[in-house]
Amino acid sequence: MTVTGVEIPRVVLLGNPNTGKTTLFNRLCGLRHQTANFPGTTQETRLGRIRGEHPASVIDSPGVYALTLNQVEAEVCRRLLAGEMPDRPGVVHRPDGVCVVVNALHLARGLKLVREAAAHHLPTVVAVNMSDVAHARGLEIDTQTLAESLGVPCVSVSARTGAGCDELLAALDHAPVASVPESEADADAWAERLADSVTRHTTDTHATSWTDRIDHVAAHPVLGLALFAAIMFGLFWAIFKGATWPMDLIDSGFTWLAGAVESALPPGILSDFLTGGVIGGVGATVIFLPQIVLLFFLIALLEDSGYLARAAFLVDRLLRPFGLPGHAFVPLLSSHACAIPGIMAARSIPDPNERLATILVAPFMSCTARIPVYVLLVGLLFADSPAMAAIAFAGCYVIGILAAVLSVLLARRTFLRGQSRPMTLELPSYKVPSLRHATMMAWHRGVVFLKKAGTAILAIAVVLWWLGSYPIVDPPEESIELRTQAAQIEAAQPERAEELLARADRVEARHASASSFAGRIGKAVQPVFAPLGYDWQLSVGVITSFAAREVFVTTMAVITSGDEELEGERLRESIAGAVRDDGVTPVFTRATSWSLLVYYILAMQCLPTLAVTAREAGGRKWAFLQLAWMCGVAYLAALITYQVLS
Amino acid sequence: MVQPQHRNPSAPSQRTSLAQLRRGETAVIESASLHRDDEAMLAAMGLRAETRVQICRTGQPCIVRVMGGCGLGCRIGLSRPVASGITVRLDADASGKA
Repeated sequence: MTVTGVEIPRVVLLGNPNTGKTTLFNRLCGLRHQTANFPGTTQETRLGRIRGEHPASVIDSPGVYALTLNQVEAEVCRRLLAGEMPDRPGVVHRPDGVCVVVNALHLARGLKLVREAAAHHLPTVVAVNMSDVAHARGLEIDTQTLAESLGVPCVSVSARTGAGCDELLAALDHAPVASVPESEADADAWAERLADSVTRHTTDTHATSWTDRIDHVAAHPVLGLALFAAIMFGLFWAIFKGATWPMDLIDSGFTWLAGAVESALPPGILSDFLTGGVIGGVGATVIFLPQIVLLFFLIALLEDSGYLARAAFLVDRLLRPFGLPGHAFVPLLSSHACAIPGIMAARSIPDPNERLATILVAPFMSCTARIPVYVLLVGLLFADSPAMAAIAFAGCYVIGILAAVLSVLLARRTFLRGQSRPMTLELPSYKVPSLRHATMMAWHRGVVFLKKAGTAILAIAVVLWWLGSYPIVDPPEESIELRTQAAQIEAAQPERAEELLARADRVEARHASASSFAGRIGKAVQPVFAPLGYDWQLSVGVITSFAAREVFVTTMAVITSGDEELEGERLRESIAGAVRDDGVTPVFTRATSWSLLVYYILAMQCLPTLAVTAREAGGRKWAFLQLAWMCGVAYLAALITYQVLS
Repeated sequence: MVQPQHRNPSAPSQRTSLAQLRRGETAVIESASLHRDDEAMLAAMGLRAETRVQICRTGQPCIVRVMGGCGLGCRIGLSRPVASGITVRLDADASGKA
């Protein structure tokens, strides 16, 4: 393989789906890789680097069954091999080699791809992956004869165990240029004949396998759905239970960091900016990292086991009447942790209209940021009935899902019309999933999420912090009076003085919040929310929720009590007892609480999600549509709820 | 394109739709009447004319094992519209043996 103008050779990994190509990429490159989009497409690529004796830069291309297919993945691969597709901004040139990964269990299909790749006249190596699985199932591939027939090195590897990877790297160093076999015009016949000639069956490979037996249950219309429900329950339980302590740890870490910065810097704008804007803003998002990592770890396990493809078919039956394919299952599932990775996962949906529909409705799924609001409002509504509170809590998720599928139905019958493409999926054999692979996939998703938290999310958080913290206003007369009283009695009654000072702090915080830009905006927009039963305090809560939904709880704590540290029962009591400016009418009546709950289930209040929607859907107009539709539906539903209940 | 016909169990080589086969039966694909891109995708996956398939599961999804061309019988799940659009002839000799 000759290196052309770069320091180390650049190799494209090419292969059918389910050949273990990404597992091989992870095995060769480890955690040292970066993720980017192929420019102009929604296809994600991963760029890795092999170090050591055989250094190389590796590009993990999308899985394709044939380069000739009319699909985005195939076009990306074609252009990548032809040197027309930049694998990173500004880098456009032909790769120095291609490694075609074929599945030893399905050799003929992989050989057709080898033949197609050979038309690009690149140095080529064939990695015959899953050779260990094939051996266990009574298949032996004669890679030497295969190599002689193809005229390029063929190496038997197992990406799961790492067997054969060293030989593969050595072969990449000296790979000859492949040429299209001219012996037979029919690629199918050529591939089958060659596969037959190099494959030896050592046992009866057509015996009924475990896969058939498991599929008998997993794909059953009733038992399959029951199994699916059980697996989903387990998944959510694991996410919400398993992520609790690392989330607490992150929360404590950011609190400690904010405290350390506060004590290290003199009081002022810089200290407020770093603690409230940067640390507070990023911390509010990063706290969900454990749930996101755990979700993708479990999804990777399910995918590697072979179950996810079956689940997609089960969900296809449920979603198809609404105009969504089973492919939308993983994006919508992921959105229950956070809509951002969910929207990014929609890249796997082949049909553009179905992909767009999924992106637009993904934020209807109840993400974890809504949970603190649900807990607060459901707690207010059903303070004496835990059973009813649990039902209402589950109902929040159901309402979100219903809103999503009904919105899709409307979109697919209006501006996203088009014939739904029926589903065809390869169903890989069941196998014990690789923990190593799942860990690497989860790590990769975590890194992507953190990068976003450190860029777009940070910028948005800082802006919203500024709106919520400025302008700095003079303390109100009430707090000045309290401080004066405290100073007068400090010597005689120190405890009483401390109480007065704490009260003065709360009054000042409430006054500052009401006088801030966000507070002023809240008061300005209050007439808009008046039909929903919200006074200016609730309107401020709704406005500040655009930083992150859970900010609503903190905002209400500050506005109603002046104490942002309030938690649990004390917080609920404080909020339940909050009154409007007339000093009599409660802020949270039954009708207002229900109205707010409905609004928070349905409204789009996450600016980072809108930024991701604009990028993934291909334009800001889709983000505006998402914002307008979700907020419109939320407003209408909350209005009806309030008017009916009041 | 060849239109699927109703099955007659007494006629072993008659043409029918893939969706009408029973579990364990083996058949040979004759043609497909689907969207051009779907047909191309199926062919690339190994489901093309003269390919033998065995039904692993009927219904939605219809799961077929592709014999021969795909190697060690890869399984492909087909939604009902796709399975209905594939015309096969029953391979009576092989049915139930695999």
